[in-house]
Amino acid sequence: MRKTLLLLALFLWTGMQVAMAQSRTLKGRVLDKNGEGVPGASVKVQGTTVGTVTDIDGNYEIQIPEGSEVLEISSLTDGKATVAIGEGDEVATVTLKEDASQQIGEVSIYGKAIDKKSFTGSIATITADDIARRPVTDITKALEGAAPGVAITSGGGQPGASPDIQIRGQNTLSASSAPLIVLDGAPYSGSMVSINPNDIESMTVLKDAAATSIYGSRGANGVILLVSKKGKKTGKPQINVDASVGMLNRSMPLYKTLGAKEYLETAYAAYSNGPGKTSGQLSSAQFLAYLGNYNPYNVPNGELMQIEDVDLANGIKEGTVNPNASLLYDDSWFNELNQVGIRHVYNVSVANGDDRGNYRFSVGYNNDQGIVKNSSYDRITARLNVNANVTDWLKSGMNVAGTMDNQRFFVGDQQAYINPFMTAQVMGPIYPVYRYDSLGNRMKDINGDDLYDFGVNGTNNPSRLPQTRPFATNMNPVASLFQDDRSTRAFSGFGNAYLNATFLKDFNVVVNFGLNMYNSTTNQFQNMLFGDASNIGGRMDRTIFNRITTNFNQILTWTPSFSIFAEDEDHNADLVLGHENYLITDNNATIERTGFIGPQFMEGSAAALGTGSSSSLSELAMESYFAILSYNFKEKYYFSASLRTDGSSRFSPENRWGTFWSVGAGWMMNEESFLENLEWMNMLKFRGSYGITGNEALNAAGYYAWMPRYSFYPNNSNPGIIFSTWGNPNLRWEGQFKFNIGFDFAFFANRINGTIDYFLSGADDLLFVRPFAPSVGTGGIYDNVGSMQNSGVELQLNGDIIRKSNFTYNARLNLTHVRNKITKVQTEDSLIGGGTILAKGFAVNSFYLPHFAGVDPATGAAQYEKRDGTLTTDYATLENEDYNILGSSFRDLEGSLTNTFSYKNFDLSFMISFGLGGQFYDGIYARLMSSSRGEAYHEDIVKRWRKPGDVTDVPKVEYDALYQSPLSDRFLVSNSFMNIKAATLGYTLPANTLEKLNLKSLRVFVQADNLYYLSARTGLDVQQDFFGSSSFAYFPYRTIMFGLNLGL
Amino acid sequence: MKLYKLGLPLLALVLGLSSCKKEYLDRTPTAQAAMEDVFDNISGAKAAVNGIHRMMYEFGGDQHNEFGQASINLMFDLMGEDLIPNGQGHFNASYNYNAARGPAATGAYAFTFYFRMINNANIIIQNIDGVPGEQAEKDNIKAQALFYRAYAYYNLANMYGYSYAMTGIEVWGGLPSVATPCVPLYTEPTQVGNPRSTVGEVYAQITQDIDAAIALFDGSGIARGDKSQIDGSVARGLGARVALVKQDWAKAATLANEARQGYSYMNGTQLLAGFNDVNSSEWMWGSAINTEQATSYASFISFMDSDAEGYAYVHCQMVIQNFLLNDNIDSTDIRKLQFTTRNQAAQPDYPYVQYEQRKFKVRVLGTWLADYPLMRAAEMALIEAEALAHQNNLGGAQTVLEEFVHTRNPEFTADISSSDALIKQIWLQRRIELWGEGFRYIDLKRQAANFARVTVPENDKGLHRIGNFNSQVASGVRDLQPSDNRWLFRFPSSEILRNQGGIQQNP
Repeated sequence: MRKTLLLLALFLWTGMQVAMAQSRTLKGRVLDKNGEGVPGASVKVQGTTVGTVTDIDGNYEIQIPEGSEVLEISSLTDGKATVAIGEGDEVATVTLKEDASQQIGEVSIYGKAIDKKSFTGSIATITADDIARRPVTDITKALEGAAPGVAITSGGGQPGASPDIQIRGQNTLSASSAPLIVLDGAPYSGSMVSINPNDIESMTVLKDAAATSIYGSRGANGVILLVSKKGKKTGKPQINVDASVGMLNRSMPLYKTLGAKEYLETAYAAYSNGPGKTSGQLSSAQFLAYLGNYNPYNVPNGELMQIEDVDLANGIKEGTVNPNASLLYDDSWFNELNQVGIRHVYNVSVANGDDRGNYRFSVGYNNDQGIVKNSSYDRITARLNVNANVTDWLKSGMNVAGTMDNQRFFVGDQQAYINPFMTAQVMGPIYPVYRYDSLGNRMKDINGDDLYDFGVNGTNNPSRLPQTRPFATNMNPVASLFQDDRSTRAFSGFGNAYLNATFLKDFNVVVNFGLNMYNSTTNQFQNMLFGDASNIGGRMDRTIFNRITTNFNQILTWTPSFSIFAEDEDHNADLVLGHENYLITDNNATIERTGFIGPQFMEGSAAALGTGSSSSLSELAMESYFAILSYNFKEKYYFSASLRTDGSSRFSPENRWGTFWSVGAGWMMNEESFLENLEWMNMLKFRGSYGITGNEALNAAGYYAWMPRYSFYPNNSNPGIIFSTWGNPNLRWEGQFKFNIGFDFAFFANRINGTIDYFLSGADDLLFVRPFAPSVGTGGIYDNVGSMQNSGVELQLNGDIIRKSNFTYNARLNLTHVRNKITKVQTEDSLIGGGTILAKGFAVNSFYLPHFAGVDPATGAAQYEKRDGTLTTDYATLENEDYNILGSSFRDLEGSLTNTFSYKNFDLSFMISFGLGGQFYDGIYARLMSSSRGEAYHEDIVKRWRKPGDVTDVPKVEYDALYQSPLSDRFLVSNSFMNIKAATLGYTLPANTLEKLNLKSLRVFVQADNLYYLSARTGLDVQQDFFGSSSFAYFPYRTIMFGLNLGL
Repeated sequence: MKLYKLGLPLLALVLGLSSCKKEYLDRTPTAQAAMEDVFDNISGAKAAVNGIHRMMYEFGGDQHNEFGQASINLMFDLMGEDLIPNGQGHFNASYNYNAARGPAATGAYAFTFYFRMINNANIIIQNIDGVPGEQAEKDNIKAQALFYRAYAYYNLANMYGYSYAMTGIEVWGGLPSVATPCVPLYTEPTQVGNPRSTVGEVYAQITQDIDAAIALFDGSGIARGDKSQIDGSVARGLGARVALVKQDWAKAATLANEARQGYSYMNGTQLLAGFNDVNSSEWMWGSAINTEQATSYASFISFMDSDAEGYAYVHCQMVIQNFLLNDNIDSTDIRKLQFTTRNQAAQPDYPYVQYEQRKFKVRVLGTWLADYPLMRAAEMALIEAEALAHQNNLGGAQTVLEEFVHTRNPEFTADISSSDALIKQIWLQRRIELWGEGFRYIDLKRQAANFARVTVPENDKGLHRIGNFNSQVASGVRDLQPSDNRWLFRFPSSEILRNQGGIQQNP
């Protein structure tokens, strides 16, 4: 076939006439391998958006712009081809060769190339085009909404951090739910962000057992295959330059909190309702002293609050701010922490190939400023992919990549006062970012810069009394962003080399050696002048982490071409045998020193005192043997099977090995005689699979979970140890069966195509920490505690709604419904955590809470309903039986809708992702509704109970209450959301203009991400976590990018 | 040519397979020690005891008010009348009894802290006999483990049960304290929870362990390396504490006397030096803390000494109740200088707030260095004097008491007009001398019981918080009668949920 094409091209070439100065019409026909017309194939002029589709008989007609050389043909059912066209051609007939057709890039599983026709498993592929539409630094973020059954969190929004991924729901309890990432054939353990999305040709998500069982103990959560771009046979070097620049800003507002006046009035009520107040303590001055003498108004402390007795009999007082008072300052922590970040992305690549081999080299630079000041991420990547056909029987190649990155971050820890997302949300509105003197003027240092308020001040302030800010005392997160340093510099190296030899006619052996290195240096420096470490002369912490992963596999493939198979070409089979070993080595060293000689020094050598240092080494080893058998009859009936056994150092020698297997079948129904005559049916394939996969990915502490261990715990200079945990020698693989049936279809000249799948998976022997009663003196052990089931339906529907030569509209809908249910919890009926439960018959981490039954009008106390229906205001008396199982975070439906338009040289696409149903526990809201001293209040607090007789659902406010907004269903909200995710508008320059500019191709575009977000409450990001709980995490940001793709 | 074409792939396969030795999958931790490597030699077993010494000042890694025994001591004193937080901070929940009664906070921390100590002790006790090594060394290790088990149960019993000698406790059907529920008892390592034992059963175990520890210490004759370790004197000291709660006066007096032999009382200079040096002649037991193991913000000194610029500086200072300082510490008593007076604080630029403590100070400014006191000869003198007085040996009590108090206040005279008067005087000396060291809560509970020879008026029993010191922290708990349920810590909810033995929650 290739020869035919070449001859065709040659023929066209020799027939070339003198160049014509205008576009012209080219007619042709696209044929399948049997010589029949292919309907609905896309015909496109390379480097342009000029395109059309073939009619029912495979005919097409297209306007060829001047200077165009190559046509790209692709058909969903019959594959792709490119043909060179001569200047004088009027007719170009193209025959698609099926072999290459169904390939999805060059995706292979252990050397076995997978294509949509023969593959019996459920897969979804995201191409380079899809990735290019998303302005993301981290390739995993391009997965959102890209395929049914794939979910990611919005978390990890700090520049350079990665989100979590889930495939087909939650399949595990405490083992990792992250899928296995395989990059160019080798398991990838490095950081996702060190992969340049621009270097990736395709991402293929393997979902069912037929696809994942062959990855054995690590396949339970699904597998994502990444394939890097390679050089293609293009005749002359392809040079591409991409550049874009844009901005990031916060895509959703803060929770709505009270301003200074309402805040002070609410805080006064909370203060006066607090325990044990004597009348002397209820004055305005005492109240302000309680708030640390922060008075933002221009009246003295003693006159700020006007106290009124709202219920004299019960001694209930409220305070209102003196109406004559006006604000002296009104600093916004959010404004001081927040910025519009700038992003730059540049990529250059050179690629070429011929019969002897190919190469592609790329360099990329990426710089993201975060939406928090002084947070940033920059990255330089380089990748070289070389493949050589050494002899007719030996191929070799190497893919090497290096990434250097530097992340400047802030503390995102949920309990750290210095976490800017907590401060921006929680700091009371009366506390300023900067110092103000007694007249209310902002104070300056000797350089004329604004002085920061660290919360411990003398009397030079508007209240004229010494100040102590109750929240985040001695800290100023804004100052910390500028005066301290927190950064991680990392170098990642990736190398994968292979030898591929064909011998004895039917045999092929491939040896792959992959090496992955990640070396990071994390600094956390706190200055000696202000804040947390000023009393010890500043502090520096450094962690040096080094992870080396090696993967070595040998794969033998036998494709028999003799015996019974040879006589009848209807039978095709092959067998793959392999062996693999895998070793992770983690090296860790930390040092901490204090007592700097001066503020300009940051390195440990300038610090006086060593206050901590340690080092450790952890290893995880795995070894595997596997086999894959594939067979088809007449390319109509397909069958596949796999078998694998894995050994892992995580488990005791008795329980070390696990066996995993799968069977799968596919049936090309449209090739059966009873469907052959249906003209509208282009393709209908039925497939099914069943298999066993496993999961062993406990966190790093679980590397040695099977043995009882002591932790090192020196006492002064005497070596010491303390008991850490019991081991569990019976610990074994978490096993999972996966069952899948599905259809792939294409109808009406391929205008409508898609995939529908039903799946059922059951996980057994779930790994989980089985908690002990605290009185036995140790926390619990990893155990195989239970079983769970996930069942669901996935639909991907793709339609070319409009197909006109200069206007097309394509819509793609992804829908996923997954139901999660625990079927067994081993030792007890249920395992109860903080507000959640693992119980038989219910979804993982279903909410388990008492019912909030409003407010007692007489006392203002929150009421809770007991099992017998009575109400109590004493939360402590609630017993387990008073708690209710109240649904889980899992949504009923998740999906996305992608719309792509093209009009002449313009292209436009946007994606909406959405989720419906499920519950979310809004912990941030709970905190803002029962704040502690110095913390902000949500504006809903104005509905609070104030005096006997008030009917409301917001209890009275009270500082120092025994239970402050205790867990209850009061704070559950819907987990539904809608997000206008990615939008792109592009313009491709016409060929005649390009010729004048001496360019091959040029496209300019505008891209946007996270345009609009809708959830149950303003400020709430329900996608931050799979389990429906909120934290002070980096909020998703909106990105708007302007850029160009240039072909030289 | 054909040969290498075949040979090369085969060689690759063989090389790959030969790399897989059996040991390939055997990996051992480096950041932790496998248990099998611990009890196969004496130094491993010794390290296991050292770990418990370290535990005494560990930072739990969660809340900053969790730093071992010193944080629990601070909680115990905050639950009394004499130590008041001047501002909001991590220990508020202790002061207003939310820690004891709430679902989490320091109460739950202390619970897991002591049971973790018990489990560590139990593992040592179970394994030590099988360790190859000299018997004397093994005995010493075992004695220290027995000591810690007793120490942990002594604290737990006082938190979760009524004091040993209380009688007629209504909530448990009028039973005497010894018959009421206490904490689960474990004498060997286990993964399965036990139901609550009675106060009497727990104290029987405590007493048995202390007696066994003393015998083993005396028999082994090994001198300890430093004062973070336990020896016979410390075990006797604990025995004296336990006997005091049990009202076993004879034993308390004997053990306290034996325990303090070889130690001498601090002098005036030493008393004002900051209570931060384990090598003090009076300290019998304390945590010796170095720069690397000091727990920075989450440390006793951070909450105590505002010069360390930790929590005492930024949030709240620990102050002494004004009546105790003004009315009950004589002006000739050097201990008065361990606190800031109102007049001092009124002076311009004076760095401390009124009544702020200056007893505990950081050893080196710019660090978090300070050793923690855990047992002192002064306490032994006070136990001995009280136990003698309870036995009506007023002369003997006077001698012991005066010898000790004269090192603080040369003008002091013991009131031997009656045993009631003398005991009240000794109790006051305990409040002054042991301020900040974690005795008040247990003393309050103990002193609310009935005594054979001493009469405490009913309205003197229990907690009565007085004083006009105007802390910003208010506590709803001002008075607790001896029978009040709030004397009892409530069990952490996780214990109720997970203990298959069944735990009845405290009222």
